[in-house]
Amino acid sequence: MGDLFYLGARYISHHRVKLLVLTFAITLVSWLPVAIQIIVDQTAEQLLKRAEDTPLVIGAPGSPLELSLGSLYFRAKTPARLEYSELKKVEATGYARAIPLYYRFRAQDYPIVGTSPDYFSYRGLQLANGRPAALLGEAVIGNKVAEAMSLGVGDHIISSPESVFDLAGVYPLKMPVVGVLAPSLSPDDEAVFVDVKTTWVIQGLGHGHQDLNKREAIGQVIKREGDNLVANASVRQFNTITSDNLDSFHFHGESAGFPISAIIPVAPDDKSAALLLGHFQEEREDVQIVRSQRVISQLLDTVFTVRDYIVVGIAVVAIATATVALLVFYLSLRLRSGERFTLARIGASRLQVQVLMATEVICVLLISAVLATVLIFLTRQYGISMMQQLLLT
Amino acid sequence: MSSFRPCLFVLIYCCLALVGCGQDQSSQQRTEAPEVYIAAVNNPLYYFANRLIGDQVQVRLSVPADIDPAQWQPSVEDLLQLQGAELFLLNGAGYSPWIANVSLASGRVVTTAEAVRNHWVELEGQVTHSHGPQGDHAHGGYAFTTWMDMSLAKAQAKAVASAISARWPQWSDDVSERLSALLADIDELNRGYQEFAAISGDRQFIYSHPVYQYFERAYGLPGHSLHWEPEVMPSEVEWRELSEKLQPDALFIWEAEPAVDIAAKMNALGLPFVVIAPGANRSETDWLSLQRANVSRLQLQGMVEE
Repeated sequence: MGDLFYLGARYISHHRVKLLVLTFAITLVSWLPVAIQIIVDQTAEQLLKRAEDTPLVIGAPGSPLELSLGSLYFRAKTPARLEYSELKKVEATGYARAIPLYYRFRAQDYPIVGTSPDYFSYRGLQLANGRPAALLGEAVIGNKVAEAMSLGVGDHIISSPESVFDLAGVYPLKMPVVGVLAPSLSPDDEAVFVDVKTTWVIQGLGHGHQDLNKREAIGQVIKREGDNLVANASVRQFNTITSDNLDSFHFHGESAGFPISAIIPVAPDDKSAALLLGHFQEEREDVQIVRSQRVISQLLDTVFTVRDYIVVGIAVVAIATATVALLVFYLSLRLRSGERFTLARIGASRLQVQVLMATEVICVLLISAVLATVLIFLTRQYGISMMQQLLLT
Repeated sequence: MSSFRPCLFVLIYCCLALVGCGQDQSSQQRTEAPEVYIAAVNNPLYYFANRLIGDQVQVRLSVPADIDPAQWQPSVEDLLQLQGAELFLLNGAGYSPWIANVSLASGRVVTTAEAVRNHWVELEGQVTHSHGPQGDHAHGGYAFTTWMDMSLAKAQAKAVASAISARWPQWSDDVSERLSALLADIDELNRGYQEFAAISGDRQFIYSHPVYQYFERAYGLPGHSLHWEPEVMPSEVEWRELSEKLQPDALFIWEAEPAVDIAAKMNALGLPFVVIAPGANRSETDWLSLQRANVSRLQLQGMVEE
């Protein structure tokens, strides 16, 4: 038996390149369809989990899908505008509490999400460092943002201008980072959270500036009309909110008319959620309420179809690969006819010769199976994050 | 084409998914059951909430006793406490101007005087400003001691009751019952103030601080407001200015008991005074008792005058 192993090993060692190529090909076609299945299923599970956690979303009329993707993943580039007064209207129904979301602005590649403190308890987000945002201008960042931008508590993050050509537009706002979220395995890891009022400051709806009653501002005051001081446009505005200038920040107009992107209604039970849904579907045409789970499920149906096409394609490739492998084994056996003859002449039994010939096939299939199993396990554990690292680097 | 973008999103999401999905999502840590409490911004609201909720939920007033809640600036720690409150009872009428620049969930904030906004007293002489392309925007203000008009105090109590019932519907019957009792007590105060107003006629009133605008309007007792502190002896110039204004029937209204030397000087001037405490600050005596004491003092003053 030892002789057979020795001869088999020598054969494999001699034809290692051919066998490695075969093993690689068979491993790949065995692993790929399963890997795609795993990644798509896990992604679908994650997408659905987020949607299940956020059963209802309210937004401006338009695409339900855009609204769901925007409010769940902060992916919308130009979210439709909803008035902040809608928040009070949702709460006035008595069916739910309302959490505002305003995700129009970005800090480099990361969305700035204007919301309320309720968002963090709603999502079960925990702080790894620091504290929640308490004052206007303060930011709490996701752990991926902290890692990617090398930011921590005490640092500052700056909002990005919407257009570099908008020279007369709103200055970027420099926001102190007061907290870093613990990883939550969700899009919240990649977001910058501020109070919704801070996003209005970023938009220029609110600002802080030097006190016009003070001596330093005398150059900016054009005239005094009764109790109203009229100043020119050169009044120095603050681009950082600090404890010293916080009181000077104020908003133009009523907050009821200020913009937000979406509202997450938090109903205490299914009955309240159903009543809220009915209320908005029957009585409101100027806003839409969507069941995000249904919207995401419809989207996933399309994705599953795409996945099925890919899997079918890979199955065809697998059949072709198997055929080529069979051909390689067949040609290999034919090439080894002289070897079989020699073995028979030196006294090897028929069984021993057959086992030796089969060693090549068994080794390739066995190693491929083991490698494919390991790869499937790794895919299940780290597939998506590894792919992300690969694409990012 | 319309389904292309969502598909693209999901495919990109698959590739750029933020996590290794193999990890159990249930490992997300949920916050522990938070402590349930109601926060109030001043003593009247603290009292209303306590009366209405009973022992079922704790009511907190973060403002220290020696600080006027209207002048209070919460620290970050205070704000984090307020963020954790199930309900945060604000007065309204610009009582807590810091609210505009802090992060609180709007659904938990109850502006108790909001329903009577059209009864807010606008202050005169407030400077506004305008600049840049946005044009005018005003920073005018309102008088904020709304609860000194008992009809507004009732409206505020109803707003508190409504918020509590909405938050804890299972207790709405109890709250409703307690509200009736509270409104009856406030009505009693109202009658007390009205009786005093009826016997006071057109006499001159001088108020130690401009915090009685609603009281003056509600009970027809207009007067002149100074900026005198009960524990700080006014200057001679201030005494002289006061003397020049005094009419024989003048009555001086203090927010709190004046210092002995101030009281002595008033007695020497022949100027009667009485304390009408708005009761905004945290106190060992509850707001209703403070108001009843006000009414008692006024009744006593009325009897003395007669």
